Amino acid sequence: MSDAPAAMKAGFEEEAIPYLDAVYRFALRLTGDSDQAEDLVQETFLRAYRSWDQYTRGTAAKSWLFTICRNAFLRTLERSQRHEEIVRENVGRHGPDPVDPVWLSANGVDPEGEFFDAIVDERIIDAIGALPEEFRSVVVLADVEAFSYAEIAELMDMPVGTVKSRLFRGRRQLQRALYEYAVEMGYISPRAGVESS
Amino acid sequence: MTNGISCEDALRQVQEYLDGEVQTVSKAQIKQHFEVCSRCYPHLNFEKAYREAMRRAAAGEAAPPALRAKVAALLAESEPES
Repeated sequence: MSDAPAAMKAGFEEEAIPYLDAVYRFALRLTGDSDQAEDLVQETFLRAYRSWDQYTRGTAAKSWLFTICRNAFLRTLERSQRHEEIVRENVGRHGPDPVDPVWLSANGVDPEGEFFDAIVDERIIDAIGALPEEFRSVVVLADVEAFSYAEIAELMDMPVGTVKSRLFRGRRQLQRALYEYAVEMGYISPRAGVESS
Repeated sequence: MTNGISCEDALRQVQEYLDGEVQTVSKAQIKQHFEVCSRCYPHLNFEKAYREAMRRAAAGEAAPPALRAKVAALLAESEPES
C-alpha cells in the first residue's frame, strides 16, 4: 500500500473534490454569507486533506467532509457573537413543539401545498437561513443533500431520535414561515378563523 | 380510517414514509392508506410539494469557479500528514 503524497493526493481528488459543490452549499446554508462560506470550504478541504490518512477509502467521503465542515463552523460560532445560538440549542432541546402542522392552516385553502411552487428560490433560501442552526443543519442534510437519519446522526454526533425530532420540528417551522410568506404575498388567502399563529 | 392503519398513524409517519425511514408499520400499509384515504392524501402531497420546493431552491447551487481554483491551490501548497 502506497502512502506516497502523489497517491494520497490522487485519492483525495478522486473521492473528496467531487463533493466541493455540496460542501459549498452546506457552508452557505450554515453561514448565510458567500464570503464566509468560501472560507469555510477552504478550511474544510484543507483539514480533510491534512487528515486524509484517517479516512477509510471508498467509505462515506461526503459525510466525512460535512462533519469536518460543520465542526469547523461550530468552532467559528463559539468564537463569535452568535454563541447565543448554541446556548439556545441546548436550552430548547427537549421543549415542546410550539408550531402546529402547517397543513392544518392550509386545509381548505391550499391542502396540497401548491403555494410552495409559487415561492421564489431566494425566499426559500432566506427561510432556511432563518432557522436556528440545530434545525437548519438537519433540514438541509435531509431535504437538500438526502442524507439518511443514521448518516445525519453520525455526522452531527447525536442519537437518531434527536435527528428525527429536530428534522420534523425544523420542517414545520420552515413550512410555517413559507406559508405565512405565501399568505402575505397573496398566493393564498386563508379563511377567517382558520389560520393559527 | 381504511383497512390497515388509521389516519392518525398514517399522518404521524408521513415524514418517515417520504424519507424512506418507516420502521414501526410497513411501508406498504402507509402507501395503501394514502392511496385510498381522500382526507389524508392531500397532506402527503403537501409534504411532497415542500420537498420539491426545497430541492428546486437549494440543491442546484455550485461552488464559484474561483473557489474551486483556491482549493486546488491550497492543496498544492499542502501535504497530507502520513
